[in-house]
Amino acid sequence: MALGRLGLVALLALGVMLPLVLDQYKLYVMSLTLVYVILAIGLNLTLGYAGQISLCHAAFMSFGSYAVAILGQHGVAFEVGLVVGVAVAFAWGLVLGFPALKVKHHYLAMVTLGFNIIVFLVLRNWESLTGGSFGISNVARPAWGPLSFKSDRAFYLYILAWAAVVVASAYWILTSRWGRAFRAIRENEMRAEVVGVSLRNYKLMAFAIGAAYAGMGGALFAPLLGYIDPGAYTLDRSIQFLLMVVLGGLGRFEGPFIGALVVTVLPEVLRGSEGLYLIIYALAVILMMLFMPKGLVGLWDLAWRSSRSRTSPSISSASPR
Amino acid sequence: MADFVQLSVAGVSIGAIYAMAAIGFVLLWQTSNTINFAQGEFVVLPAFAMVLFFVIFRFPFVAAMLATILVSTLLLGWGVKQLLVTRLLKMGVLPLVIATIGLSLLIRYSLQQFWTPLALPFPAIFSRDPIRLGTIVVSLEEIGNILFAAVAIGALQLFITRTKLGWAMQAVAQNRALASVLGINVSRLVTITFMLNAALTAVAAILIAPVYLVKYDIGIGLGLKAFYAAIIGGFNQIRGALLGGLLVGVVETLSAAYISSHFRDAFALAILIAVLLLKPEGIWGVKEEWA
Amino acid sequence: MRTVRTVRTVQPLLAALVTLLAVTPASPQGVIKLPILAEITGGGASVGAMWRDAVNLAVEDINKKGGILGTKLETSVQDTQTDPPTSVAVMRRVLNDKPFAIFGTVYSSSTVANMDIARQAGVPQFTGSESIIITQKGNDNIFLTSFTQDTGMAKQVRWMLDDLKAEKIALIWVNNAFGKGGHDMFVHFLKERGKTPVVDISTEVQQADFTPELTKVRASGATHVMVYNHEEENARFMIQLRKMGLAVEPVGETTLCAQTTITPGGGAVNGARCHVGLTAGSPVPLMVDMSRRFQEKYNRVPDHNAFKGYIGVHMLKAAVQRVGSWDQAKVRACLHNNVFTTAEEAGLLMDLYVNEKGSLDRPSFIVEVKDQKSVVTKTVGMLGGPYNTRPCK
Repeated sequence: MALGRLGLVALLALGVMLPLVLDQYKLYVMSLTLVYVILAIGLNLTLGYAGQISLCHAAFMSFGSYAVAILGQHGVAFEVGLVVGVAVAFAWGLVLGFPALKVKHHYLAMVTLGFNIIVFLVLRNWESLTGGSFGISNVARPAWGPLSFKSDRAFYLYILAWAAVVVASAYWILTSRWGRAFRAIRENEMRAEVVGVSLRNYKLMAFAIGAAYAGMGGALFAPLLGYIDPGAYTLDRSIQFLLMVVLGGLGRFEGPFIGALVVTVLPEVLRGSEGLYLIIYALAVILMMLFMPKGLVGLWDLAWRSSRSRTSPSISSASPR
Repeated sequence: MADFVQLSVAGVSIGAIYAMAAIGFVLLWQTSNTINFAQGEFVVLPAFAMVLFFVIFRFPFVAAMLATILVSTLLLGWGVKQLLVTRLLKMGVLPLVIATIGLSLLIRYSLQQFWTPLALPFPAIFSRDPIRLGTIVVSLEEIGNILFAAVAIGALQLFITRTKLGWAMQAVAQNRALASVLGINVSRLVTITFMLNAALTAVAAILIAPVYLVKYDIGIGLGLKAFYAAIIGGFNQIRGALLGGLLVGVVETLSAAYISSHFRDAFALAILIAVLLLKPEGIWGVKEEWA
Repeated sequence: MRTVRTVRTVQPLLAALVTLLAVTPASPQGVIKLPILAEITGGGASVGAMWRDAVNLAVEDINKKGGILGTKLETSVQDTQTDPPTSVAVMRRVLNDKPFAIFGTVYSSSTVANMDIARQAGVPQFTGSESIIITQKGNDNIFLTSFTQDTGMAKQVRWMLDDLKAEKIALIWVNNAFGKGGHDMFVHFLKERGKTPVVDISTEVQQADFTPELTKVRASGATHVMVYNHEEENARFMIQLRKMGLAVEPVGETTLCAQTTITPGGGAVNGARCHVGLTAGSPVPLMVDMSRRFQEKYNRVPDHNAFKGYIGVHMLKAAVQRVGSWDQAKVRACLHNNVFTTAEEAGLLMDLYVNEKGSLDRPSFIVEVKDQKSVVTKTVGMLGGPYNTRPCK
């Protein structure tokens, strides 16, 4: 099954209509989900498609958040802050990409993990810039002259717009030669290199683009919450994104959507289980790895496969697999 | 100068504990390519078990210790290997990593929810009376930790290098396919390695509990330090883990005192990153084969 | 074919969405809803549990006596997972039920994130947070159940310099919002008296080894060390302090002498002295009584977070009674610049004054840890005053 172009447009249409039917609480949850989708798409690119273990996604996210928050304090327009945040995240993604060239797997995991911790420490200790442990409050939402996106509904639509941009760009990247190169690297690096894929550039790009998306997510996250502090960008958060992407389905286009939705919405649904939620979540992750390593997308595939006829093609070649 | 010695002793003492956690970690990686993100929790669970046997059931100390090691070996060694690792190992590195992350969360939050979120006291094993050597003050606890860890590590080293089982482990670590061809039951060996790791972490737990206190979240920091130690020292050598552990402990303590307490966690990290970029196999590590 | 497949794709997604976002069930009329937002899981679990239990006890006590203005109270517990974005979602969710007031959160970083939402909805919020950042935001809808770190540290410094005659003070503090707030205030009030700490060193949450800190304290010749970490770290610190045989006097503010420090720390904590706002060792009869009932019901000794929760509910009760009606705006106004006494509402446990920012001034205690118990050695009066009692009709 593939979420073809038409499917995505349908989702977008659905998304636009949600503010009409959802109350402020559910709209907030959807806004948060959209932000997490953006972040998950970035990590899915780096980890799922290019096979590079990144445990510092939250650090890239923090660049977006703090750029918007700090520049907003000085009256700079939100979009400028967003671009700055994304650029900084992209740059650091490139920097992190270099160790990715030299080391593999668990070593890379450690480098990225170390980077996340260092970024957290800098955010906490550089008080004059970031406000330190006290954080930054009243992060301003975007406004275009008289048109303000402050209301929950308006900001939701704003986030949706950016999410659409991110999804479209990811779609484009993954259906281009970039996507094929990434998948080649993930499958077998040696072979990819032999076939002529310039490992170096693609690996760097996988990190940088994934990081840029994280920066974008972070920039939208800050005004959604209204208050940010270094505690939001710890290793725990990076692991949360990792689990999100894995639960949804690594290296599958639909993965981030499912993962973000499940991780954000499920605890709200499991409210009654007071305190057991995290345990259920952890158990679900383990069971998923044992029996459904493809992620929840695997469930989908099963349902899909059982309902299609034998003669129709399985996957459209033009959609990212 | 006296301060420097004081700090170094403390650093070595805590480093010995890190080393114990790191060594099992290294063993698992060597024999089964498992990156055990739950290693910290493999120490926390036996610590709680020790509280159960020693404090609640009031077993005599040695009996409690043996019971703890047994429980740990069965659950975290044999149990984890049979239920999780056997299946996931075939799928590559990543699924197992994710599963161990899930396992660490499961253990951590289960303890928090079903036992207690508070820290539990743990009786000191060695005397805590201050022993003054000039201006330096140590207690039997510091010395005891170092000695105990040294004995455990020494015993392990002997086991690896002098027994048939140890040689088999080395063989599997170097080349799994070849070891299998030579008649070594790789799967059984991996199970034994897991059990050995669980026993090691149980011993570490008994040493750590009086210092760290017994709380569901002490595994987070401990697991991290074990990774640093293993990677810095050498991911495929036991003595590497030992060196790494001591280094991390000492660097942490000295840098917090002499450089900056604000960036306490960063110094060991800086060394880690430097090692990863310059000599990824670790200071005493050996370059891994392209397997 | 494409369209059919797309529709097939979208349908289950849509169905899932709708199911997941199902309408929340309604609850019976004629009750006042007081949801509890607490850290039940995550790093703040022990704190949130105490807060929740005490609020539940308070509501139970009140309902037994007929409720407030004849109306019964109803609570529900919502877990914020000690995660600010989750606490915002939870806050929004409970607001849908049209509660009268909210009890929680306790962790300051969550409270700062979610308190604006409550304010926009006009639902008074009682929090267990103590950080100064909360009262700095100009939010007239937030009510603390303790004093903030500025009042607390002012009293602390006064006690240390006037009573203890502390000469050289070392300051050990945990590097997070809680610790930093306390640190900044402590240093500020010391400076007002012309002193600075001889050692000023930060620690980390979950830190196990305090040799660097203790070595520095020893080298500085400090007479007193102000210990301001969270409970487990305090316990470890004290164990190691005794192990090193240091002669320095340990003092603290609330956390050092809390039961949750004494239990893991054991005998090492004996001899520590603290200024605390609330303690189970208080001789105040009302507090002794509440503590007994808490222990009967929950089988553990209440800590300061429990007292805060209990008092918070009774602050609401006192204000509503004084206003005479269930009017959120009036209750809010009543809870600023006003004195509330135990004579009118015993559940407050001690007389208190709520200032214009929503934080409290109240008598407090000096305790010493003896035989692993916090024993009150002195009661300290309110910092400011005299304050006026305003009617609220």
